[in-house]
Amino acid sequence: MDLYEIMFIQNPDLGEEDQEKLLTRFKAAVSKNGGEIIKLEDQGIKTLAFKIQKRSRGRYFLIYLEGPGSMVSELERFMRIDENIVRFVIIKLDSHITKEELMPKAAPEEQPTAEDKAEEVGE
Amino acid sequence: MQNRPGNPRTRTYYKRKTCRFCEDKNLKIDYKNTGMLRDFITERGKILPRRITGTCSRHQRKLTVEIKRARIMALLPFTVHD
Repeated sequence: MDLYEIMFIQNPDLGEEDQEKLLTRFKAAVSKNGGEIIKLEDQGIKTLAFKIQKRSRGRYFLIYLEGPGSMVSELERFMRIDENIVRFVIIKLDSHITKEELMPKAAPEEQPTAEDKAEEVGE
Repeated sequence: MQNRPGNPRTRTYYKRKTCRFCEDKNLKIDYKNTGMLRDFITERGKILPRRITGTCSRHQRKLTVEIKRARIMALLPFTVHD
């Protein structure tokens, strides 16, 4: 089992429903091939450095996952077939990076600041 | 005073450039960090050579890979034309 980082650009004009569908299909493809998603981050719509398929904007997703090597080619195939995924990159992470490092932090070091408290009081 | 190559009295000394990534071990070369990668490309989007940036060969190799990854993901341009 290795750790991988996947980043893909999705068509920004996709409706919310279709986008959810795409993500569930992606997650299904991961679990079907014996992988596990550690972290999925929606980075929002960004302007591309150049036009791809006549579009100048794209929605970026960053995913960290763990899985066997056979999963990679399957995911690659999946992303190539899906026409709403415009570009993707799969990177195998260095072996000294641990799973825990990638875990979405449950905000342990983030102490509620004065601002946050003020907001809570306001509510 | 003007710097003339032939005149030994007016020899200028240059500060030796050092590799930014060797100096600061915590600095990671990452294709997602485009702000940092932009220091290593020209306005036209070409990768700057080592002799200009002072990067060591090992980190230059890593930089090249990460810049190319950033280009694939449209985070950095392949070229910038007018």
